[in-house]
Amino acid sequence: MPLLDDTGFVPDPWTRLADDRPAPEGARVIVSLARLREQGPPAGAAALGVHVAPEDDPEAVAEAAARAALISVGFSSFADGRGFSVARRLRAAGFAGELRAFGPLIADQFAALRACGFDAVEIPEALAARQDEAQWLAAARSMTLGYQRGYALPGRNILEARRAAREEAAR
Amino acid sequence: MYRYDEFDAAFVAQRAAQFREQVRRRLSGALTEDEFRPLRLMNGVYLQLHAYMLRVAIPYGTLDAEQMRMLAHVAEKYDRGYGHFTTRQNIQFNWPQLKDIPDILDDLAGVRMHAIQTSGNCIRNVTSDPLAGVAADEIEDPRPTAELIRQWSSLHPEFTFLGRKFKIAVTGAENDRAAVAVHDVGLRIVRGPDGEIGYRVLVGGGLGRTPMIAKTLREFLPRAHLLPYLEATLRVYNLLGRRDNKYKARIKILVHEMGIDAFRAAVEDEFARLDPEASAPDPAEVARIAAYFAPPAYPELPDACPALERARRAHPEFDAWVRRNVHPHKVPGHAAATISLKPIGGAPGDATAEQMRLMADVAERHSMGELRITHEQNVVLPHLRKDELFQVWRMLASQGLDAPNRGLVTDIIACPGLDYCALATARSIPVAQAISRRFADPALQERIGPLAIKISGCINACGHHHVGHIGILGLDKAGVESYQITLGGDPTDDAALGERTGPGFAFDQVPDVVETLVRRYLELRQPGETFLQTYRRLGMTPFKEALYAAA
Amino acid sequence: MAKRFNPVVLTANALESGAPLWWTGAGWSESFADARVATTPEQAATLQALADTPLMQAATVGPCLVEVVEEDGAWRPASRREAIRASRSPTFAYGPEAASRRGPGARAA
Ligand code: SF4
Repeated sequence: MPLLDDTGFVPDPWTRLADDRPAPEGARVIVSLARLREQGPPAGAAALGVHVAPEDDPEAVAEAAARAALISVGFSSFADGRGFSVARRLRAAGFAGELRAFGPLIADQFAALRACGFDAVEIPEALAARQDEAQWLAAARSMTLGYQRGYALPGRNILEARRAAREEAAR
Repeated sequence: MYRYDEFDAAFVAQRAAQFREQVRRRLSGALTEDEFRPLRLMNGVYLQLHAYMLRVAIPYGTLDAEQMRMLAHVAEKYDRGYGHFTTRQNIQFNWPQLKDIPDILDDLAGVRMHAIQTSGNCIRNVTSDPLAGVAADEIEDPRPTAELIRQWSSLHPEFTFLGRKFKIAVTGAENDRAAVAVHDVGLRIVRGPDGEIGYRVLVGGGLGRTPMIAKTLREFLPRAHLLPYLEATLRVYNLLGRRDNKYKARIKILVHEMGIDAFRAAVEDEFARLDPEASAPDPAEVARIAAYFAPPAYPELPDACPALERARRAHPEFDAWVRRNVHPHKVPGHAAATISLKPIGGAPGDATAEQMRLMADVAERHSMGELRITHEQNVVLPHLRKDELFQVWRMLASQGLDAPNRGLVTDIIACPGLDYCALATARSIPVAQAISRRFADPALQERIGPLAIKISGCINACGHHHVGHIGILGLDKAGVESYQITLGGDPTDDAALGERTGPGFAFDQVPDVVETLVRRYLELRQPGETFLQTYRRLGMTPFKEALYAAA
Repeated sequence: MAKRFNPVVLTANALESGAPLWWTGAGWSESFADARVATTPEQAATLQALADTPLMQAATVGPCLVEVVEEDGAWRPASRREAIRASRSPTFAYGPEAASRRGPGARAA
């Protein structure tokens, strides 16, 4: 499915592997958490990615994150916001690999997804046809200010800007 | 009052521009209605029976004269000349067109107003005590806390697609006028063991289909931990709250199903994993916000006011208004007053553009430019001089804003109901109007004393019927409106949910039902006893008998 | 037992204005009186199919069928909700008109 990062649509170097399929030699593969737990990492793969769902056991997700270079977090619909918190937890626990949001997300969520730690979004074809690259990139940049500390907001953090202004004034 | 700095102003302007773009994409077909709905809701735009509805935030119910005038302007230019103040201290416009809403938001942004998160499954606008900053029983003004939360929750990247809406209320007073126990999170400003100020955190209260009184999540939370602790609470809710059924998706159900102890353990565990320093605002920022709420420069006045006493003696109607609608103030020689939006036979909470302008004028001339909206759907003038009360009353009377009925039987809360609302099962405003007309006599109202009637047009309980002394819930029974009556609800400190009397009543019967209940109370009460006290002393039985014996 | 068929009309709200609309058979009208009534299950199915088309979904909000009943030779919406919608107004006077009717002073009925 189409993949976007902050530069727009990009080719996907990863392959999603059904639970019963072997990994192509030297490929970067994404497997389900269940498969990883039952079978371990697929033999021959160059890099391991794991797909998790919000209802997956947080301990198991943390374990997988320790072994994976990519975590794909599933969203059952764009209104299902659990994945935002899953990403925050993973980043807070120190996961430094690639974080991908997977599901029928919409352009208007791009900035928030990135603020919570996602690097990229993988969306269904039909959605990509309706919401083109320009819309995604425009939506990601429509807010350049935010109030929350500790999130990777696009543009400026208002609290930090105020603090800087205070320090400037004090000097 | 809080004033936007350049960042707040730019933020709100960007948000308005963002919504304009979202509307354009909806009209162009890039967004389907399913995708657009949550986006418009997050900006306060509903589709009701007759038109779109726009709900504008009045954060913690505080606004200034300029903002009130802007609401009048919006009512006149884009609507049908009026607006409806809600139980959430907001205002709703009933007739705007979708294509005009971006312009409305631009106009509102010009006076530091917005519609951000007045609906949708996100953190809703924070509500508070309408007497904040002026009440004598206050430990601390709750508004700096409310403003801090307003900023923090605005377009929160993690918490805008929650399982369901999330309402936070704050009070800083001993008497809770913000009904914090019926909110998803309620904050009470308290003094800690060493006298320092912090919060008691309540969680899991709410009305709606499954009403619940909140439980204590944390007995004492240091002030500096407020936002990180809210973040932990929201994260636990976001991850674990149910998403399979919209009626079970509020945090109250999660707390109820997990049990408060397990829920608390989960929050504390999440909180322990956070670095509070990384997400808390620095103390200078907290102080910056608090400074805006420093008390205004009141003139020094003697507390006794002979001019007021003379006017009261000369004008019995004014005297009645002072008795009912004027509140004590912590500064000598001053008072706060409630402008009742409940004239006899009126639609509760409605005000015309002309009335809004008049209220703005009165505020500017007599109340240091400030107004408050209450969850009873009235307006408060917080900073009046006692020796100007008579002039204030005269001005208000010129536009029918002088109803001397605050807290009385005709000060009825009613949601829009089936006359406007797409979710309604029955009408509520006409029920309120009929009851109001039945009890039109001011002497009778005073004789009955404090009595809160609250009416909702469906189980969503926007009219807070569960916490009405008399609660009225409109349902649909096989195509016919049927009204269920509850007694004994109370949103204040001893928060209690009303108890059902029995089978429901037809639309036309409701005024008789209320009259029967009131008569029974008048027969049974002991000297000085209110309806609620009599009900608590005697319970349901005598009222039930009066209602159903005759039938 | 099969549910008895009740006649229906197709209704929606206008995307730009939000106003209620009724399908006339040839287009949308803001007046309920213009609505084309489906009196057979087949006609109702045709209207439902129309409501389900992507074009209809994109151009209006919430197209759906609602039941109507015949009374004194004219059709009216079966539910109170739809009757209020069809009247395009709350059931009471509102706004400036209601306020001026009450006049100054809050007491007049
Ligand atoms: S209680 Fe029901 S009818 Fe009343 S405003 Fe809320 S959703 Fe609408």
